[in-house]
Amino acid sequence: MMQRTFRVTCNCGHSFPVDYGIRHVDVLLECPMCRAKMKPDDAAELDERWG
Amino acid sequence: MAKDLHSFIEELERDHPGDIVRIAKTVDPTKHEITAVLELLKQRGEQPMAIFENCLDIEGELSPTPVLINAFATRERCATALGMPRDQAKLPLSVGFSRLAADACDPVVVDAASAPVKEIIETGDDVDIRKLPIVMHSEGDYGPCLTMTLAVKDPESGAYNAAFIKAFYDFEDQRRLRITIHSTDSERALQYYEDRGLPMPVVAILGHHPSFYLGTMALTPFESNDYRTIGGYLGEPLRLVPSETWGEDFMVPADAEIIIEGEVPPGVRMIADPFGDITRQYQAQTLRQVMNVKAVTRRSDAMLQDVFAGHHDHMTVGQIPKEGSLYNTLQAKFGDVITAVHLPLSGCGRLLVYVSVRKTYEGLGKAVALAAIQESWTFQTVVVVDDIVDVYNEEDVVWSALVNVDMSRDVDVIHNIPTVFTTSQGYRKVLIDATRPLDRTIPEMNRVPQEAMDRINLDDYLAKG
Repeated sequence: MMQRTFRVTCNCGHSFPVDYGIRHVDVLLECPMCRAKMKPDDAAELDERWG
Repeated sequence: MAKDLHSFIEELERDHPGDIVRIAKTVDPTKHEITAVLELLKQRGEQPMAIFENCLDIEGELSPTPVLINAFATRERCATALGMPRDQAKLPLSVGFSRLAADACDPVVVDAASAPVKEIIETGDDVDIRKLPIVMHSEGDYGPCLTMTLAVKDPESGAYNAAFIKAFYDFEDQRRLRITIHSTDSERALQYYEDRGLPMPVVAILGHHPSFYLGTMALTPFESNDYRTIGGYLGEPLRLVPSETWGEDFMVPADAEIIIEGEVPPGVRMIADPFGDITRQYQAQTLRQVMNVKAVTRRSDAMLQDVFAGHHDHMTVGQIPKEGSLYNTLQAKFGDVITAVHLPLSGCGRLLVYVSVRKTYEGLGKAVALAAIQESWTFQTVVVVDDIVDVYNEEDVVWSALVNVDMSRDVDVIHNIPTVFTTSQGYRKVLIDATRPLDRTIPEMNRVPQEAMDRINLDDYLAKG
């Protein structure tokens, strides 16, 4: 099914899309650029407009 | 001699040498060097099947395994793979493809000594996925990713299902991949195992004759045995051999390049993606299944086959089967008024459908569009044109829409209907009747008389002196 997304920006500056289905799931996102792990709310930036 | 990837390479080098390129210069697949070469070739109008003979592995060491990629990038090469003429690579290829499913034949079992894929066997602690030259495709991808097919066995019917998947290298464990189970049959098998708390056996098939992979894309009934279907596309029974992990309980293709055997643990999900996928957009990061690798078997001269994801190599392999299936469906419903169908690469071979009809009454275009949109979950927009328009010539299709469509009556939007891909179209599908109206007078399309063109031998007019 169509994937609704939000976008996080890592402390390294890399920005990437995340499936809104895991927005409130207890899981750490992983930056594809620096491999840092983070909760969405701990990201440097969080853009919750649905893509 | 059974068909395999090596026999296809020999055929191309013998009959179509301009269709294949060997690159000896060392490349680092994890630094996008393979996809950069392919992108630069594409910008020059070239889309050869490419063999990168010297690749670095995940650890940056020179790998003994070349990477072969872009096998499906042109319809002509797919025609060759299926034993069809290259000058029939438009609709006849798609219709011919759909007919091959009827040639399905039972696979044959061979012993390990006769199976090239058993020439090298790694199990247990010897397994190390880092030794493979896994390709990083697009700039924002989660990581290096294997893109060929994953096979699962239905635990109840015993049928094998093979489907293209993505399997990311796992940076935390060299014996684990983060995979996506997404075909209907595979999801059903996974549900069976997860309901019982059992691991699901899976194998990744990383290289075979291109007709093997085209056969996995055949649109077959639920619970069809893909190993049987693939035989119809290979033109010979698929040779199978017992796996290392499960023996005869799970058979694997004997002539594959590399097989990774593993198990999907029940209930385990880990982060994977983004990945630049079929619609040329990134799929967002989400939770995916994992595959704990149990064994890797390979030929001594194995190549790692890969798909240039989000490019023609990826689009064409699905475009051809869907065209054939749609044409047959529409023919069954409307008869010979359906003259051609095409899923253009501008729609990634999935989203957009062009159909041409011999229009005999007003409203036929809309009726055909409505039937076509239901053929596949991936279709988002259908454009129907007259039979004088070549649906494989996008310039003519767009022209037809511009001059024929009355926006107030010829465009219909179906709201609140599930779609597969994330586009601004959202949960909507669009039907466009771009056929010439029969109940109004508008100027006709200009044409040079066919009679005049038939009289002309162009060489007579271009001769010098």
